[in-house]
Amino acid sequence: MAVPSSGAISLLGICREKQNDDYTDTTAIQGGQGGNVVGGNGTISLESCATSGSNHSPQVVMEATNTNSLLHPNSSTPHAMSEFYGYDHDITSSGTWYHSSFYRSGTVNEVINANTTSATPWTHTSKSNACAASNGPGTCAQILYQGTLGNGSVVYWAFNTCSGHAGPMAGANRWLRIDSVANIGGTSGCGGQYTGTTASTIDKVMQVSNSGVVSNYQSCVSLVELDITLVQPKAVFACGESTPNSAYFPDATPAVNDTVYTNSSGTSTLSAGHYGVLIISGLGASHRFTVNSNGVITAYASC
Amino acid sequence: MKINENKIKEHSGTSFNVTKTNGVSKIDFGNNKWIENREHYGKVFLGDCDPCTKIKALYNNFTFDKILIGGLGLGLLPEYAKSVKNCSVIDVIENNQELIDYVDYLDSSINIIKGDALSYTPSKKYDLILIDLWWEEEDITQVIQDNIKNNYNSYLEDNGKIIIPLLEKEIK
Repeated sequence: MAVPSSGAISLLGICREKQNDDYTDTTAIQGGQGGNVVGGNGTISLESCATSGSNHSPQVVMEATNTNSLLHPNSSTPHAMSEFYGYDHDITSSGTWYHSSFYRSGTVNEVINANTTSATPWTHTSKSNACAASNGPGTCAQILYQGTLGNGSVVYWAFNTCSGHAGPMAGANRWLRIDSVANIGGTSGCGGQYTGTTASTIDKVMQVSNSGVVSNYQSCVSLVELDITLVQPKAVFACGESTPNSAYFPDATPAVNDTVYTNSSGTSTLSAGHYGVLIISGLGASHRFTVNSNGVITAYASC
Repeated sequence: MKINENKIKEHSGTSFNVTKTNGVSKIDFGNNKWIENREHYGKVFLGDCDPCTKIKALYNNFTFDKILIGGLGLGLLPEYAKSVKNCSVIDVIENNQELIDYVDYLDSSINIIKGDALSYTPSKKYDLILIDLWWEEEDITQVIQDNIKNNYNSYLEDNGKIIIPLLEKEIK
C-alpha cells in the first residue's frame, strides 16, 4: 500500500513505505546505516526519508527515492510530509498522470507564492467567477490528476517541476477551472512524465476540497432544460412518446457527443438508454437520442 | 391496441421473464432487452404514430391486409395488426419455443410459425413483411438487409413492402 494520497499521514508510515514498500507494514525498519531502527539504534526523520539519509548519522540510511512513482518527494529543503502523498516505493510505473493549466484568480506572484498552503490564488469564490476568469497561471504551475477527472477525483498541484507534485491541492472548497494544457503552466517541458489533459476537461469547473477531492464537476455553460421521455427499449419507440421528465443539455439543439445531465448543475448524468426529447412542440417526442453509460449522446435523430 | 393485461401471466423462464409493475406487463430477455405491454409500440411500427414522421411515411398510400411479422415478443404487433388494422392474414415467425408456448393469448386467427425469420420460406404472398428481430440499429447490417430482401422478395404481393421498422426503412 502506497502512502495515502490525502489526509493525515505519519512519519513512521512514510519510513515504512520507503524501507518495507508498504505504508502499513509494521516489520521492523532496516536501514543501511542505523540498523534495526524500531528498537534499534538508528533514528528516522523526514530528512532521512526525503534524502535517503545522506549519512546524517545516526539517522538510518533509506533506500533511494523511487522516481518511477510520479508522486514522490524532492530532496530539496524545506522538506514536507505532504510531498509523500501518494508515494509508492515499489511501483514500476505510475500509470498515466494528466497535467493541465488553470484559470487563476490571484496575481502570478500570488500563484507562485501559494507554496502549497493555500490554493486561493489558483481558485475562485464561485462558479461564475471561475467561468468568467480569463487568466492562465502565468507561471509554471499546474494541476495533476489520474484517470477520468470528475467527482471524487483527487487534484494535485505542482510548482516549477516536471515530476512529482506538491500534494493534493488545498482547495478550501473553492472553484477551480481547467484551462488548456497548451497554456503556461501546462507545458514548460513537462510532457515527459505527464500526459496532456483530456480535451473534454477543458473549461470544466469544480470545487476542490482541502484534501484535493473534486465535487460539483460541471461545465461552465448554463445547461438547457428539455422535456424527455422515460427510457425506451428501442430507439424508435421514443418517437411520439410523452415527455414527463426533464434533462439538461448543453444547448437547445442536442447533438452527438453532448453530455446529458439529470440536474441543472450538471453533476449527474442521464442513465444509458434510448430516450425521446421534445424539440418541436406537438404530440410527444419529436426527436430521439441514445446515451451511453457516461451520459454522452451516441445517436440523435428526428422522428 | 395493447394486450388485455388479464391474459398475460407472470412468468419466470429460461430465456425470458414476465413481470407486472403497476398493472403493466414487461417481458425481459436480459441484457437490458425488454418490452412493455403498451399500445404505442404497435402504433409506431405500423405507421399510426403521428409524430413518427419517418415510419409513418413508409405507410403513406399503402394499405395491407396480409402481413408476415418476424419476431413475436409479447405479441403486440400481431395483436395491433388484428384489432386495429383488421388484417385477414397474420403470420408470425418466431424461433423461441418457450416464447411461442408462452404467448397463448393471441386471437386464434393469428398463426405463429416456429422458424428463423431470416431464412424462412413462406408458403404464400403478403402485402407487408415486417421484420423486428433486433434491439439496436447497428445490429442490422447491409448484408442482413440484402439477405432479407433476397429471401422474401418473391413472396410479396404487387406493391407489397418489406419494412424494417427499427431502421425506419423499407427495403423493398
